[in-house]
Amino acid sequence: MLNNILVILLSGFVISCSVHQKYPLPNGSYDNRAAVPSPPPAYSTDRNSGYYEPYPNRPSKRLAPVAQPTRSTNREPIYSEQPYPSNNQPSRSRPLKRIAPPARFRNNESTYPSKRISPPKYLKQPSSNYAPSQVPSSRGYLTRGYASQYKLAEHGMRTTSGQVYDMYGMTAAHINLPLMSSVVVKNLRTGRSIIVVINDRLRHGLIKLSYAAANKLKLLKKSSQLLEVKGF
Amino acid sequence: MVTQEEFINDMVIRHGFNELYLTQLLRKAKVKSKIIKLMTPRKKGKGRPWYKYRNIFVNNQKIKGGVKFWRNNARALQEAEKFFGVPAEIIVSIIGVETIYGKNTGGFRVLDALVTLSFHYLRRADYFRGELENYLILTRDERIDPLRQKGSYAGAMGIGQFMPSSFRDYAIDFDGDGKRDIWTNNIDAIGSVANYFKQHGWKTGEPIIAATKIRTNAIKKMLALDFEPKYTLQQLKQWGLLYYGKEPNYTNGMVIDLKTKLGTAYWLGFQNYYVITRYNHSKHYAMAVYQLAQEIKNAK
Repeated sequence: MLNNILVILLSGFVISCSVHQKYPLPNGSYDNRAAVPSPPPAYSTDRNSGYYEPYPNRPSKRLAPVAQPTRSTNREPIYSEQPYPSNNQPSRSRPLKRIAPPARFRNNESTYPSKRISPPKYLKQPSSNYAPSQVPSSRGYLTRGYASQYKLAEHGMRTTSGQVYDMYGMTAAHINLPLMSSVVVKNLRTGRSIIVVINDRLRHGLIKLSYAAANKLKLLKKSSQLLEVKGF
Repeated sequence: MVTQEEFINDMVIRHGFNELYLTQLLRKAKVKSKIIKLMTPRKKGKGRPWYKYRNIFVNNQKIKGGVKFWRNNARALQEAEKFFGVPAEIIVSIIGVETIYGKNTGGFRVLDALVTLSFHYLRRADYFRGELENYLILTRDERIDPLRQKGSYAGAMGIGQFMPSSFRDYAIDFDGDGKRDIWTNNIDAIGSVANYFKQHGWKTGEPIIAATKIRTNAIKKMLALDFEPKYTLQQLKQWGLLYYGKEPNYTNGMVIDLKTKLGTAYWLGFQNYYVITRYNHSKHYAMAVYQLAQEIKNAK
Protein backbone atom coordinates (compact mmCIF):
# COMPACT_ATOMS: atom_id res chain seq x y z
CA MET A 1 0.00 0.00 0.00
CA LEU A 2 2.72 2.40 1.07
CA ASN A 3 4.80 1.31 -1.85
CA ASN A 4 1.92 2.06 -4.25
CA ILE A 5 1.44 5.56 -2.89
CA LEU A 6 5.16 6.23 -3.18
CA VAL A 7 5.12 5.17 -6.84
CA ILE A 8 2.21 7.49 -7.61
CA LEU A 9 3.88 10.42 -5.88
CA LEU A 10 7.26 9.85 -7.40
CA SER A 11 5.95 9.33 -10.95
CA GLY A 12 5.06 13.05 -11.22
CA PHE A 13 8.57 14.19 -10.22
CA VAL A 14 10.83 11.62 -11.76
CA ILE A 15 10.07 10.89 -15.44
CA SER A 16 13.53 10.66 -16.82
CA CYS A 17 14.60 8.33 -14.00
CA SER A 18 14.75 4.70 -14.98
CA VAL A 19 11.88 2.84 -13.41
CA HIS A 20 12.71 -0.54 -12.03
CA GLN A 21 10.04 -3.06 -12.66
CA LYS A 22 10.15 -6.62 -11.63
CA TYR A 23 9.09 -9.32 -14.09
CA PRO A 24 7.82 -12.59 -12.69
CA LEU A 25 9.70 -15.57 -14.03
CA PRO A 26 8.29 -19.09 -14.38
CA ASN A 27 10.39 -20.45 -11.48
CA GLY A 28 8.76 -17.95 -9.05
CA SER A 29 11.70 -15.53 -8.78
CA TYR A 30 11.79 -12.02 -10.29
CA ASP A 31 13.99 -10.61 -13.04
CA ASN A 32 15.97 -7.65 -11.71
CA ARG A 33 17.12 -6.34 -15.12
CA ALA A 34 16.01 -2.92 -16.32
CA ALA A 35 13.08 -2.84 -18.73
CA VAL A 36 14.05 -2.24 -22.37
CA PRO A 37 12.96 1.31 -23.29
CA SER A 38 10.50 1.29 -26.17
CA PRO A 39 11.79 3.18 -29.26
CA PRO A 40 10.49 6.70 -29.63
CA PRO A 41 7.61 7.03 -32.08
CA ALA A 42 8.20 8.34 -35.61
CA TYR A 43 5.65 11.09 -35.04
CA SER A 44 2.79 11.89 -32.73
CA THR A 45 -0.39 13.86 -33.03
CA ASP A 46 0.00 14.86 -29.35
CA ARG A 47 1.11 18.48 -29.29
CA ASN A 48 2.94 18.02 -25.96
CA SER A 49 5.05 15.09 -27.00
CA GLY A 50 8.49 15.77 -28.36
CA TYR A 51 7.61 14.08 -31.69
CA TYR A 52 4.67 16.30 -32.53
CA GLU A 53 3.93 16.41 -36.23
CA PRO A 54 1.01 18.64 -37.28
CA TYR A 55 0.53 16.99 -40.73
CA PRO A 56 1.63 13.41 -40.40
CA ASN A 57 0.77 12.50 -43.98
CA ARG A 58 3.13 15.10 -45.38
CA PRO A 59 6.71 14.12 -45.86
CA SER A 60 8.42 15.51 -42.83
CA LYS A 61 11.88 16.96 -42.81
CA ARG A 62 12.73 15.02 -39.72
CA LEU A 63 13.47 11.41 -40.52
CA ALA A 64 12.54 8.66 -38.18
CA PRO A 65 15.63 7.51 -36.37
CA VAL A 66 16.87 4.29 -37.84
CA ALA A 67 18.97 1.79 -36.02
CA GLN A 68 22.49 1.65 -37.41
CA PRO A 69 23.31 -1.72 -38.85
CA THR A 70 25.62 -3.68 -36.67
CA ARG A 71 28.55 -5.51 -38.19
CA SER A 72 27.74 -9.18 -38.29
CA THR A 73 30.23 -11.83 -39.30
CA ASN A 74 28.02 -13.78 -41.71
CA ARG A 75 26.79 -11.09 -44.05
CA GLU A 76 25.72 -11.94 -47.57
CA PRO A 77 28.63 -11.13 -49.88
CA ILE A 78 28.05 -8.46 -52.52
CA TYR A 79 29.56 -9.42 -55.84
CA SER A 80 30.45 -7.27 -58.79
CA GLU A 81 27.65 -6.92 -61.31
CA GLN A 82 27.33 -9.76 -63.76
CA PRO A 83 27.08 -8.74 -67.43
CA TYR A 84 24.69 -11.57 -68.36
CA PRO A 85 22.05 -13.56 -66.50
CA SER A 86 23.86 -16.26 -64.64
CA ASN A 87 21.71 -19.13 -65.94
CA ASN A 88 22.87 -18.52 -69.51
CA GLN A 89 26.54 -18.28 -68.56
CA PRO A 90 28.84 -21.25 -68.34
CA SER A 91 30.36 -21.75 -64.91
CA ARG A 92 33.42 -19.63 -64.32
CA SER A 93 36.74 -21.22 -63.61
CA ARG A 94 37.88 -18.43 -61.28
CA PRO A 95 35.72 -17.25 -58.38
CA LEU A 96 34.28 -13.79 -58.66
CA LYS A 97 36.28 -11.02 -57.09
CA ARG A 98 34.74 -9.81 -53.88
CA ILE A 99 34.60 -6.08 -53.69
CA ALA A 100 33.64 -3.63 -50.97
CA PRO A 101 30.08 -2.34 -51.23
CA PRO A 102 29.73 1.29 -52.29
CA ALA A 103 29.08 3.91 -49.65
CA ARG A 104 25.38 4.24 -50.37
CA PHE A 105 24.87 0.58 -49.48
CA ARG A 106 26.79 0.93 -46.22
CA ASN A 107 24.76 3.86 -44.84
CA ASN A 108 21.31 2.55 -45.60
CA GLU A 109 20.62 5.35 -48.08
CA SER A 110 18.50 5.12 -51.14
CA THR A 111 20.14 2.84 -53.66
CA TYR A 112 19.07 5.03 -56.55
CA PRO A 113 22.00 7.01 -57.88
CA SER A 114 21.75 10.69 -57.21
CA LYS A 115 22.74 11.53 -60.79
CA ARG A 116 20.56 9.90 -63.42
CA ILE A 117 22.52 7.82 -65.90
CA SER A 118 21.19 8.16 -69.44
CA PRO A 119 20.56 4.90 -71.30
CA PRO A 120 23.28 3.86 -73.76
CA LYS A 121 22.96 5.27 -77.24
CA TYR A 122 22.77 2.64 -79.97
CA LEU A 123 23.14 3.06 -83.71
CA LYS A 124 20.06 4.83 -84.88
CA GLN A 125 17.86 2.77 -87.17
CA PRO A 126 15.07 4.29 -89.19
CA SER A 127 12.42 1.90 -88.05
CA SER A 128 11.27 2.57 -84.53
CA ASN A 129 10.61 -0.06 -81.93
CA TYR A 130 8.12 2.31 -80.39
CA ALA A 131 5.13 0.20 -79.42
CA PRO A 132 2.50 1.86 -77.25
CA SER A 133 -0.76 0.18 -76.40
CA GLN A 134 -1.74 -1.84 -79.43
CA VAL A 135 -5.45 -2.15 -80.03
CA PRO A 136 -6.57 -5.78 -80.24
CA SER A 137 -8.23 -5.55 -83.63
CA SER A 138 -8.55 -3.17 -86.55
CA ARG A 139 -12.25 -3.96 -86.91
CA GLY A 140 -14.42 -0.88 -86.73
CA TYR A 141 -11.44 1.47 -87.10
CA LEU A 142 -12.30 4.47 -89.27
CA THR A 143 -10.28 7.68 -89.48
CA ARG A 144 -9.57 10.43 -91.94
CA GLY A 145 -6.32 12.22 -92.33
CA TYR A 146 -3.12 12.59 -94.30
CA ALA A 147 -0.38 10.07 -94.94
CA SER A 148 3.37 10.32 -94.81
CA GLN A 149 5.69 8.20 -96.95
CA TYR A 150 8.78 6.07 -96.50
CA LYS A 151 12.05 7.36 -97.85
CA LEU A 152 14.43 5.55 -100.18
CA ALA A 153 16.95 5.28 -97.34
CA GLU A 154 14.53 3.04 -95.45
CA HIS A 155 14.47 0.46 -98.27
CA GLY A 156 16.04 -2.70 -96.90
CA MET A 157 15.75 -1.76 -93.22
CA ARG A 158 13.99 -3.88 -90.65
CA THR A 159 10.50 -2.87 -89.59
CA THR A 160 8.99 -3.35 -86.14
CA SER A 161 7.32 -6.60 -87.20
CA GLY A 162 10.69 -8.04 -88.23
CA GLN A 163 9.96 -7.91 -91.95
CA VAL A 164 12.30 -5.97 -94.19
CA TYR A 165 10.81 -2.86 -95.77
CA ASP A 166 10.58 -3.24 -99.54
CA MET A 167 9.59 -0.11 -101.45
CA TYR A 168 7.45 -2.21 -103.82
CA GLY A 169 5.57 -3.96 -101.00
CA MET A 170 2.02 -2.93 -100.07
CA THR A 171 2.79 -2.14 -96.46
CA ALA A 172 2.30 0.71 -94.03
CA ALA A 173 3.20 1.91 -90.55
CA HIS A 174 0.60 2.86 -87.96
CA ILE A 175 0.57 4.00 -84.32
CA ASN A 176 -1.53 1.35 -82.64
CA LEU A 177 -3.31 -0.94 -85.09
CA PRO A 178 -2.19 -4.55 -84.61
CA LEU A 179 0.86 -5.61 -86.59
CA MET A 180 0.17 -7.72 -89.71
CA SER A 181 -3.44 -6.55 -89.84
CA SER A 182 -4.82 -5.15 -93.07
CA VAL A 183 -6.58 -1.84 -93.62
CA VAL A 184 -8.25 -0.22 -96.60
CA VAL A 185 -6.80 3.17 -97.48
CA LYS A 186 -8.98 5.29 -99.73
CA ASN A 187 -8.05 8.49 -101.46
CA LEU A 188 -11.11 10.69 -100.96
CA ARG A 189 -10.10 12.98 -103.82
CA THR A 190 -10.00 10.27 -106.45
CA GLY A 191 -11.95 7.42 -104.88
CA ARG A 192 -9.11 4.94 -105.40
CA SER A 193 -8.63 2.48 -102.58
CA ILE A 194 -5.94 -0.06 -101.76
CA ILE A 195 -5.32 -2.69 -99.09
CA VAL A 196 -2.11 -2.42 -97.11
CA VAL A 197 -0.64 -4.58 -94.36
CA ILE A 198 0.47 -2.80 -91.19
CA ASN A 199 3.96 -4.11 -90.45
CA ASP A 200 5.63 -1.14 -88.79
CA ARG A 201 5.13 1.31 -85.97
CA LEU A 202 4.83 5.05 -86.22
CA ARG A 203 5.28 7.81 -83.63
CA HIS A 204 3.46 10.71 -85.19
CA GLY A 205 0.80 11.05 -87.80
CA LEU A 206 -1.98 8.82 -89.11
CA ILE A 207 -0.29 6.35 -91.44
CA LYS A 208 2.99 5.98 -93.31
CA LEU A 209 2.69 4.34 -96.72
CA SER A 210 5.26 2.42 -98.73
CA TYR A 211 6.38 3.69 -102.15
CA ALA A 212 4.15 1.27 -104.08
CA ALA A 213 1.11 2.07 -101.92
CA ALA A 214 1.63 5.81 -102.31
CA ASN A 215 2.13 5.35 -106.03
CA LYS A 216 -1.17 3.51 -106.39
CA LEU A 217 -3.02 6.28 -104.54
CA LYS A 218 -1.23 8.90 -106.72
CA LEU A 219 0.35 10.52 -103.69
CA LEU A 220 3.90 10.76 -105.02
CA LYS A 221 3.58 14.18 -106.65
CA LYS A 222 1.02 15.62 -104.26
CA SER A 223 1.18 13.98 -100.87
CA SER A 224 -1.37 16.15 -99.03
CA GLN A 225 -4.56 14.47 -100.13
CA LEU A 226 -7.26 13.48 -97.67
CA LEU A 227 -7.38 9.75 -97.04
CA GLU A 228 -9.73 7.45 -95.21
CA VAL A 229 -8.27 4.52 -93.27
CA LYS A 230 -10.72 1.74 -92.53
CA GLY A 231 -10.03 -1.48 -90.69
CA PHE A 232 -11.74 -4.75 -91.48
CA MET B 1 30.33 -18.65 -141.27
CA VAL B 2 28.69 -21.93 -142.13
CA THR B 3 26.77 -21.94 -145.39
CA GLN B 4 23.39 -23.52 -145.93
CA GLU B 5 24.89 -26.43 -147.89
CA GLU B 6 27.37 -27.25 -145.15
CA PHE B 7 24.58 -27.17 -142.60
CA ILE B 8 22.43 -29.54 -144.67
CA ASN B 9 25.37 -31.94 -145.09
CA ASP B 10 25.93 -31.88 -141.37
CA MET B 11 22.27 -32.60 -140.65
CA VAL B 12 22.27 -35.51 -143.10
CA ILE B 13 25.37 -37.06 -141.53
CA ARG B 14 24.53 -36.49 -137.89
CA HIS B 15 20.75 -36.88 -137.77
CA GLY B 16 19.95 -38.84 -140.92
CA PHE B 17 17.77 -36.25 -142.66
CA ASN B 18 16.87 -36.50 -146.31
CA GLU B 19 19.09 -34.03 -148.22
CA LEU B 20 16.49 -33.24 -150.88
CA TYR B 21 13.81 -32.62 -148.24
CA LEU B 22 16.02 -30.21 -146.35
CA THR B 23 17.16 -28.23 -149.42
CA GLN B 24 13.57 -27.84 -150.55
CA LEU B 25 12.44 -26.85 -147.06
CA LEU B 26 15.15 -24.24 -146.55
CA ARG B 27 14.48 -22.83 -150.01
CA LYS B 28 10.90 -22.14 -148.93
CA ALA B 29 12.10 -20.12 -145.92
CA LYS B 30 12.13 -16.37 -146.47
CA VAL B 31 14.88 -14.05 -145.27
CA LYS B 32 13.27 -11.12 -143.48
CA SER B 33 15.11 -7.86 -143.00
CA LYS B 34 12.68 -6.88 -140.24
CA ILE B 35 13.93 -9.73 -138.08
CA ILE B 36 17.53 -8.53 -138.39
CA LYS B 37 16.41 -5.00 -137.56
CA LEU B 38 14.58 -6.18 -134.44
CA MET B 39 17.47 -8.37 -133.38
CA THR B 40 20.08 -5.59 -133.53
CA PRO B 41 20.72 -4.42 -129.96
CA ARG B 42 20.14 -0.88 -128.81
CA LYS B 43 23.05 1.47 -128.45
CA LYS B 44 24.93 1.24 -125.17
CA GLY B 45 23.50 3.37 -122.39
CA LYS B 46 20.16 3.65 -124.14
CA GLY B 47 18.58 0.75 -122.29
CA ARG B 48 15.39 1.45 -120.39
CA PRO B 49 15.75 2.14 -116.66
CA TRP B 50 13.87 -0.23 -114.39
CA TYR B 51 10.95 2.09 -113.60
CA LYS B 52 10.11 2.44 -117.31
CA TYR B 53 10.59 -1.28 -117.92
CA ARG B 54 8.27 -2.06 -115.02
CA ASN B 55 5.38 -0.08 -116.47
CA ILE B 56 5.39 -2.28 -119.57
CA PHE B 57 4.95 -5.53 -117.67
CA VAL B 58 3.41 -4.66 -114.31
CA ASN B 59 0.25 -2.84 -115.29
CA ASN B 60 -3.50 -3.17 -114.81
CA GLN B 61 -4.08 -4.98 -118.09
CA LYS B 62 -1.54 -7.68 -117.23
CA ILE B 63 -2.85 -8.05 -113.67
CA LYS B 64 -6.49 -8.39 -114.73
CA GLY B 65 -5.55 -10.78 -117.53
CA GLY B 66 -3.54 -12.83 -115.05
CA VAL B 67 -6.46 -13.19 -112.66
CA LYS B 68 -8.66 -14.25 -115.56
CA PHE B 69 -6.07 -16.75 -116.85
CA TRP B 70 -5.70 -18.16 -113.35
CA ARG B 71 -9.46 -18.64 -113.05
CA ASN B 72 -9.73 -20.33 -116.46
CA ASN B 73 -6.81 -22.71 -115.80
CA ALA B 74 -7.15 -23.14 -112.05
CA ARG B 75 -7.06 -26.93 -112.18
CA ALA B 76 -3.91 -27.19 -114.32
CA LEU B 77 -2.12 -24.53 -112.26
CA GLN B 78 -3.00 -26.30 -109.04
CA GLU B 79 -1.73 -29.59 -110.42
CA ALA B 80 1.49 -27.98 -111.66
CA GLU B 81 2.05 -26.33 -108.28
CA LYS B 82 1.51 -29.65 -106.54
CA PHE B 83 3.63 -31.70 -108.95
CA PHE B 84 6.58 -29.37 -109.60
CA GLY B 85 6.48 -27.15 -106.52
CA VAL B 86 6.47 -23.96 -108.58
CA PRO B 87 3.92 -21.38 -107.37
CA ALA B 88 0.96 -20.84 -109.68
CA GLU B 89 1.38 -17.07 -109.68
CA ILE B 90 4.91 -17.36 -111.08
CA ILE B 91 3.71 -19.58 -113.94
CA VAL B 92 0.85 -17.18 -114.69
CA SER B 93 3.21 -14.23 -114.53
CA ILE B 94 5.72 -15.80 -116.93
CA ILE B 95 2.99 -16.53 -119.47
CA GLY B 96 1.64 -12.99 -119.03
CA VAL B 97 5.02 -11.33 -119.54
CA GLU B 98 5.94 -13.53 -122.51
CA THR B 99 2.74 -13.55 -124.57
CA ILE B 100 0.00 -11.65 -122.64
CA TYR B 101 -1.57 -15.02 -121.64
CA GLY B 102 -1.29 -16.56 -125.08
CA LYS B 103 -2.71 -13.63 -127.04
CA ASN B 104 0.54 -12.57 -128.66
CA THR B 105 2.60 -15.63 -129.57
CA GLY B 106 4.38 -13.92 -132.45
CA GLY B 107 3.63 -13.44 -136.13
CA PHE B 108 6.81 -14.75 -137.76
CA ARG B 109 7.21 -18.23 -139.12
CA VAL B 110 9.74 -20.01 -136.92
CA LEU B 111 11.62 -21.37 -139.92
CA ASP B 112 11.95 -17.89 -141.46
CA ALA B 113 13.29 -16.45 -138.23
CA LEU B 114 15.80 -19.24 -137.61
CA VAL B 115 17.09 -19.35 -141.20
CA THR B 116 17.48 -15.57 -141.27
CA LEU B 117 19.37 -15.46 -137.99
CA SER B 118 21.60 -18.46 -138.64
CA PHE B 119 22.73 -17.67 -142.20
CA HIS B 120 22.22 -13.90 -142.59
CA TYR B 121 23.00 -12.47 -139.16
CA LEU B 122 26.60 -12.78 -137.99
CA ARG B 123 26.36 -11.81 -134.37
CA ARG B 124 24.72 -14.93 -132.92
CA ALA B 125 24.77 -17.25 -135.94
CA ASP B 126 26.23 -20.24 -134.07
CA TYR B 127 23.52 -20.14 -131.41
CA PHE B 128 20.70 -19.86 -133.93
CA ARG B 129 22.13 -22.63 -136.13
CA GLY B 130 21.91 -24.89 -133.10
CA GLU B 131 18.31 -23.81 -132.59
CA LEU B 132 17.50 -24.49 -136.27
CA GLU B 133 18.98 -27.96 -135.90
CA ASN B 134 16.82 -28.57 -132.83
CA TYR B 135 13.75 -27.19 -134.60
CA LEU B 136 14.14 -29.56 -137.54
CA ILE B 137 14.55 -32.52 -135.20
CA LEU B 138 11.57 -31.58 -133.06
CA THR B 139 9.26 -31.15 -136.06
CA ARG B 140 10.31 -34.61 -137.23
CA ASP B 141 9.79 -36.11 -133.76
CA GLU B 142 6.47 -34.39 -133.08
CA ARG B 143 5.24 -34.96 -136.66
CA ILE B 144 4.37 -31.30 -137.27
CA ASP B 145 4.82 -29.15 -140.34
CA PRO B 146 7.93 -26.94 -139.91
CA LEU B 147 6.52 -24.30 -142.24
CA ARG B 148 3.29 -23.76 -140.33
CA GLN B 149 4.55 -23.04 -136.83
CA LYS B 150 4.67 -19.40 -135.81
CA GLY B 151 6.71 -17.68 -133.18
CA SER B 152 8.58 -14.54 -132.23
CA TYR B 153 11.26 -12.86 -134.36
CA ALA B 154 13.89 -14.88 -132.47
CA GLY B 155 12.17 -18.19 -133.06
CA ALA B 156 10.54 -18.55 -129.64
CA MET B 157 7.38 -20.59 -129.91
CA GLY B 158 4.01 -20.89 -128.28
CA ILE B 159 2.32 -19.64 -125.13
CA GLY B 160 5.49 -20.00 -123.05
CA GLN B 161 7.86 -18.78 -125.83
CA PHE B 162 10.10 -21.84 -125.78
CA MET B 163 13.14 -21.91 -128.03
CA PRO B 164 13.43 -25.19 -129.99
CA SER B 165 16.23 -26.52 -127.75
CA SER B 166 14.16 -25.72 -124.64
CA PHE B 167 11.15 -27.38 -126.22
CA ARG B 168 13.09 -30.60 -126.75
CA ASP B 169 14.47 -30.58 -123.21
CA TYR B 170 11.66 -29.20 -121.08
CA ALA B 171 8.29 -29.19 -122.88
CA ILE B 172 5.94 -31.84 -121.53
CA ASP B 173 2.53 -33.29 -122.30
CA PHE B 174 0.66 -32.26 -119.17
CA ASP B 175 -2.92 -33.17 -120.15
CA GLY B 176 -2.09 -36.66 -121.40
CA ASP B 177 -3.34 -36.38 -125.00
CA GLY B 178 -0.03 -37.65 -126.39
CA LYS B 179 1.09 -34.32 -127.86
CA ARG B 180 3.38 -31.64 -126.54
CA ASP B 181 1.29 -28.78 -127.89
CA ILE B 182 2.57 -25.50 -126.46
CA TRP B 183 1.01 -23.36 -129.21
CA THR B 184 -2.68 -23.73 -128.38
CA ASN B 185 -2.96 -25.94 -125.31
CA ASN B 186 -2.81 -23.93 -122.08
CA ILE B 187 -2.42 -27.03 -119.92
CA ASP B 188 0.68 -28.24 -121.78
CA ALA B 189 2.12 -24.72 -121.69
CA ILE B 190 1.59 -24.46 -117.92
CA GLY B 191 3.17 -27.84 -117.32
CA SER B 192 6.10 -27.02 -119.56
CA VAL B 193 6.85 -23.73 -117.82
CA ALA B 194 6.66 -25.42 -114.41
CA ASN B 195 8.92 -28.23 -115.63
CA TYR B 196 11.41 -25.70 -116.99
CA PHE B 197 11.66 -24.08 -113.56
CA LYS B 198 11.85 -27.37 -111.76
CA GLN B 199 14.67 -28.62 -113.99
CA HIS B 200 16.62 -25.41 -113.48
CA GLY B 201 16.60 -25.85 -109.71
CA TRP B 202 13.52 -24.13 -108.32
CA LYS B 203 13.41 -24.49 -104.54
CA THR B 204 9.87 -24.80 -103.28
CA GLY B 205 8.82 -22.44 -100.52
CA GLU B 206 12.05 -20.45 -100.53
CA PRO B 207 12.19 -16.69 -101.00
CA ILE B 208 12.81 -15.17 -104.42
CA ILE B 209 14.06 -11.72 -103.67
CA ALA B 210 14.43 -9.42 -100.66
CA ALA B 211 15.10 -5.73 -100.21
CA THR B 212 18.53 -4.89 -98.87
CA LYS B 213 21.09 -2.14 -98.43
CA ILE B 214 24.73 -1.87 -99.36
CA ARG B 215 27.41 0.06 -97.52
CA THR B 216 28.05 3.13 -99.64
CA ASN B 217 31.78 2.50 -99.96
CA ALA B 218 31.21 -1.08 -101.14
CA ILE B 219 28.66 -0.49 -103.92
CA LYS B 220 31.18 -0.69 -106.76
CA LYS B 221 32.67 -3.91 -105.48
CA MET B 222 29.30 -5.55 -104.82
CA LEU B 223 27.95 -4.77 -108.29
CA ALA B 224 31.09 -6.12 -109.94
CA LEU B 225 30.33 -9.62 -108.58
CA ASP B 226 29.11 -12.37 -110.90
CA PHE B 227 25.43 -12.57 -111.77
CA GLU B 228 25.02 -15.91 -110.06
CA PRO B 229 23.97 -16.83 -106.49
CA LYS B 230 27.29 -18.45 -105.66
CA TYR B 231 28.14 -16.23 -102.70
CA THR B 232 26.83 -16.95 -99.22
CA LEU B 233 25.20 -14.22 -97.16
CA GLN B 234 28.14 -14.45 -94.79
CA GLN B 235 30.56 -13.49 -97.56
CA LEU B 236 28.30 -10.76 -98.92
CA LYS B 237 27.85 -9.27 -95.45
CA GLN B 238 31.60 -9.23 -94.98
CA TRP B 239 32.02 -7.37 -98.27
CA GLY B 240 29.46 -4.70 -97.40
CA LEU B 241 25.93 -6.04 -97.66
CA LEU B 242 23.54 -4.74 -95.00
CA TYR B 243 20.79 -7.32 -94.94
CA TYR B 244 18.33 -7.39 -92.05
CA GLY B 245 16.16 -10.36 -93.10
CA LYS B 246 15.77 -13.67 -91.34
CA GLU B 247 17.58 -15.88 -93.86
CA PRO B 248 20.49 -17.81 -92.34
CA ASN B 249 24.06 -16.86 -93.21
CA TYR B 250 24.72 -19.92 -95.37
CA THR B 251 21.97 -18.95 -97.87
CA ASN B 252 23.30 -18.17 -101.34
CA GLY B 253 22.44 -14.88 -102.93
CA MET B 254 23.44 -12.16 -105.33
CA VAL B 255 23.05 -8.41 -105.42
CA ILE B 256 20.75 -6.63 -107.87
CA ASP B 257 20.57 -2.88 -108.43
CA LEU B 258 17.53 -1.28 -110.03
CA LYS B 259 16.92 2.35 -110.92
CA THR B 260 13.66 3.49 -109.36
CA LYS B 261 12.07 6.90 -109.55
CA LEU B 262 13.44 7.75 -106.11
CA GLY B 263 16.97 6.55 -106.90
CA THR B 264 18.96 3.32 -107.14
CA ALA B 265 17.68 0.65 -104.80
CA TYR B 266 19.23 -2.75 -104.06
CA TRP B 267 17.79 -6.22 -103.73
CA LEU B 268 19.16 -9.57 -102.73
CA GLY B 269 18.29 -12.29 -105.24
CA PHE B 270 18.17 -15.88 -104.04
CA GLN B 271 18.37 -19.16 -105.98
CA ASN B 272 14.78 -18.86 -107.19
CA TYR B 273 15.48 -15.42 -108.63
CA TYR B 274 18.37 -16.93 -110.57
CA VAL B 275 16.04 -19.65 -111.88
CA ILE B 276 13.70 -16.98 -113.27
CA THR B 277 16.64 -15.36 -115.05
CA ARG B 278 17.25 -18.71 -116.79
CA TYR B 279 14.04 -18.00 -118.71
CA ASN B 280 15.41 -14.66 -119.88
CA HIS B 281 18.86 -13.53 -118.82
CA SER B 282 17.84 -10.11 -117.54
CA LYS B 283 17.59 -8.77 -114.01
CA HIS B 284 14.75 -6.49 -115.10
CA TYR B 285 12.82 -9.39 -116.60
CA ALA B 286 13.08 -11.53 -113.48
CA MET B 287 12.05 -8.65 -111.23
CA ALA B 288 9.06 -7.85 -113.47
CA VAL B 289 7.97 -11.50 -113.35
CA TYR B 290 8.25 -11.53 -109.56
CA GLN B 291 6.35 -8.29 -109.07
CA LEU B 292 3.62 -9.17 -111.56
CA ALA B 293 3.22 -12.50 -109.74
CA GLN B 294 2.78 -10.70 -106.43
CA GLU B 295 0.24 -8.28 -107.92
CA ILE B 296 -1.77 -11.12 -109.47
CA LYS B 297 -1.72 -13.04 -106.20
CA ASN B 298 -2.97 -9.98 -104.30
CA ALA B 299 -5.64 -9.18 -106.88
CA LYS B 300 -6.94 -12.74 -107.05
